[in-house]
Amino acid sequence: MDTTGSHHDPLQSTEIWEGPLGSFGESDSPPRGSPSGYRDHRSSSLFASPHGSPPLSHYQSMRFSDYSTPYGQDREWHQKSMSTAHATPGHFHGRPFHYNTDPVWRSPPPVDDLFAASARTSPLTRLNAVNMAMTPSNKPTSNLFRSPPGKGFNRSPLRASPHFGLSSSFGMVETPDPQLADAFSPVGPSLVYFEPSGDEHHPKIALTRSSSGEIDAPPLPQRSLKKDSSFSGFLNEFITAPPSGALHGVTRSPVRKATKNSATKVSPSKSAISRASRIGASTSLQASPVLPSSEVKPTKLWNDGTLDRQMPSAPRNRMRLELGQVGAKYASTQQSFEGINNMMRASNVAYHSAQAYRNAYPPHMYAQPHLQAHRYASQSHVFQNIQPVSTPKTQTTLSSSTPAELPKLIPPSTVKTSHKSVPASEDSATKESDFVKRSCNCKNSKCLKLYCFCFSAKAYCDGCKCVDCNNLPQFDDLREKAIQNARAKNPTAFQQSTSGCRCKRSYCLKKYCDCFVAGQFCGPSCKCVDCQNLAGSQTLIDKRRKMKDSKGAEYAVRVAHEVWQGQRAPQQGPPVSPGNMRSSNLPAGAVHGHQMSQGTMSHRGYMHPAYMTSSVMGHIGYSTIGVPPVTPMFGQQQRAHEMQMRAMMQHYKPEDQSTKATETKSASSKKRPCPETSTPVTASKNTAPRTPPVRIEFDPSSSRKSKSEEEMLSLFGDPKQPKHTILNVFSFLTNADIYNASIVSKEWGRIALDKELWEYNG
Amino acid sequence: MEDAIVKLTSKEGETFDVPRKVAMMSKLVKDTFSDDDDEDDEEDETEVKEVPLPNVTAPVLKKVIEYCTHYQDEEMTPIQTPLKSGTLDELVQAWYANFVKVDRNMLFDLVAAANFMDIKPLLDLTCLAVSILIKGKSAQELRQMFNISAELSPEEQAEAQRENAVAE
Repeated sequence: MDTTGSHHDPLQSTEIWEGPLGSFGESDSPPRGSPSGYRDHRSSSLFASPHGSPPLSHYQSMRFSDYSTPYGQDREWHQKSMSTAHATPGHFHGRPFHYNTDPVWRSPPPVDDLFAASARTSPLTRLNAVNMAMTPSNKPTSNLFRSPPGKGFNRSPLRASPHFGLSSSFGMVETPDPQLADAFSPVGPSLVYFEPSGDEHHPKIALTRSSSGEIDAPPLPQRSLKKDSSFSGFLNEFITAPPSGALHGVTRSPVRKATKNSATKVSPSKSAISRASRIGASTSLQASPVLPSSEVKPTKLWNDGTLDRQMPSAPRNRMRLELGQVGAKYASTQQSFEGINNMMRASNVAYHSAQAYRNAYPPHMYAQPHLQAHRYASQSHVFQNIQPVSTPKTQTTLSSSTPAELPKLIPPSTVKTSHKSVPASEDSATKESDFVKRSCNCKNSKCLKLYCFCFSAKAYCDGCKCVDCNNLPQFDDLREKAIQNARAKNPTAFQQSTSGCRCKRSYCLKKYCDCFVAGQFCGPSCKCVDCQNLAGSQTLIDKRRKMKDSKGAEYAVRVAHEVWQGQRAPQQGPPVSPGNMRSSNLPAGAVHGHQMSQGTMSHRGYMHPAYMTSSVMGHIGYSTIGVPPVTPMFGQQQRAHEMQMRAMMQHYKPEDQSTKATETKSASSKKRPCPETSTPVTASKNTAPRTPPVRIEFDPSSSRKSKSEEEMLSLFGDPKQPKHTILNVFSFLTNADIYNASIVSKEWGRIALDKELWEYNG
Repeated sequence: MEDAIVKLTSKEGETFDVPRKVAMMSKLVKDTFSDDDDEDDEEDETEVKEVPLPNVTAPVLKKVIEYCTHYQDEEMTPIQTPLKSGTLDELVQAWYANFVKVDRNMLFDLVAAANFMDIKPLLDLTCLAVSILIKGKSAQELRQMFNISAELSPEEQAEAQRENAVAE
């Protein structure tokens, strides 16, 4: 990693931590940046600058202790509220603290006077003051900080996001106001609590999670980390690193420089480490202890192991970094830094892929399918699920092990950073490195074959799990030979991107697939075969649903819709070349045709109109609902179609076989095959509660009723047409056209979905 | 028998003399004849019979007869589904493609007549023509085309979508 970060802004300086150089956690150094401490402001214009958003330096100068001091004064109240919250699970413990503080640094409208007046009053008063201030017209809005009935203020005035309601373990609260949205995370600072016996100026932060996934009152509230523990130190350092756009290096924060002078040397205290590991392992507690003397407050540790950082003045810059099992894993400080660095290296690349998730709601949710799985499937420990890749170690091992025995870091590939926005600087920053450094697991290749991710990326192995590795600087001669060998065999050997998956048989729909498990679509750099992990892939949606990954499925559906509507360019999937194309009937470049026919063959078959998509999209025009009409792709789908026809023949059941058996029989030989038939339903019969309707052949002769019972419809205007002629007309249409017809009007819909055209099984 | 003439009377009372073979393309006519044949098949086979077609107007009937006459010379190829193309000319012979290039009213009259007279190839052809009209049009365009003001209410629309969405 280089240090090309912009140095014009101290906040932007990007350097990798090299290790524990100074002492951390010295929180007594004076606040920097602002001439006067935050505390000094409090009596006058404490909570906001008159012009709305206080300058950044203001925030930076805020000390966490200052930030929380008012509540230190109200500790009694706070304790009370905590206990109340404790008694009512499902509420956010520590909520009041959060509510009172967040708007403060979130720069609400000018409320100085109000706050100045109420600074020493009860929190409720202050809350009301904020409410007043945030409602210009004094009308109640949804943004109000409402104090819930009865108990203080433990209820969100904001609409909780859906997933929040589901498990409330993490997530963002949605607010109508984007400015506010960042401010109110239901689980961020809400997890901050005070140690009753703690120093008022050094509140301890602890995050916790109950086994049910609910946010709970911290079970280990009194065991906050010591401020000088290495763990806390590195976290402090990390936390205080400002979330500059380019978070690919870590800022060497001023704190460290400040603390360098201090006499304390970092010596990872064993007790702290073991506590950290115990915390991490047994209670999933992520601790971010005392914040050092200066720097940004708004850092949240999410109880899912996510570290969320928020910049007050740059809400769009919010980014989130999963630290995983920080407490347990980064036992030694050296390891911690290495881990952070690794993650940082990966993060801006992960950001690249995360661009696909720019529109995703909520990005962090989707980016953690394994978390999803955990949250819906089992309610076991978060951490065991957070790191699907890393070496699993039992809890007992963790808690009793020495730092050296602790598992290594999470492979960078499991780390994701999602950015809320892309400022220009961010873009430039991310260009610096375009590959994901993945750790390898080589056993026999000595990491000198192209199988090795590191080797094929022309990188040394670093923090990998490989055995007997020769891909290291000290084996440069061997390595050089291997490189020459590889080049001799394949001149383009090292030019290929190593990011992306190489699935051969899983259709990229299993967790083997790096892309799939990361909740990402396969991209052009993937070398997978017959990929189904593409935008708009129905099988992907099905798979996600099957996995009970509802968020993932939802996202996939949404993307698919966007693709159908043309709002999103069809995802560029893995290159379809003869080499990685297994089904010979798929023409190169026809990604969508590819998908469709794949889906067809695999299980679902031709889609009902609602799910039609097309490779000739944009050709004719779109329906109002957004499903473009489709001309059948016979060239491409000939084989698939043949299969369907065969299947259809087996499954075809004439409607009124009983009444007109003979006629049907005679007619069946020359019966008109319907334009698009659906699949064999049998495949889905067992799984789906209601099987999709199947397009069946229309039999004009059997459809014809006697004149008296023939229903006359004026679908096409004045001369009323008998129903069966209309059905006859519709029978010529493709499913997509039928779909369009079905939404023309109620009458049209009734006929278009008539049971003489569709066979309903459910 | 070959030269037997069938009189087809239109709605207005206009009578068209049609060779029996041509007229027999209509199942309606055929049924009428077979009924008659049952009663008195030996009496006068060559007798000119009159078939009233109260649902068919003269111009439409003329068209139908035109179709049936041409059908004797050049049988229409059965329409292959799924449709290979979106244009009529590529689906049927040129004459038939031109035959249905009429205005919409006439087309629908033809559909009705074909349905009434039960002429299957004509019905198929005209239905095909109509479906080509519909093909590739969005719902909105279809509404304009057929003057359908009654849009679906949001609920109905949602229902239609749900119906469709079931078939995932």
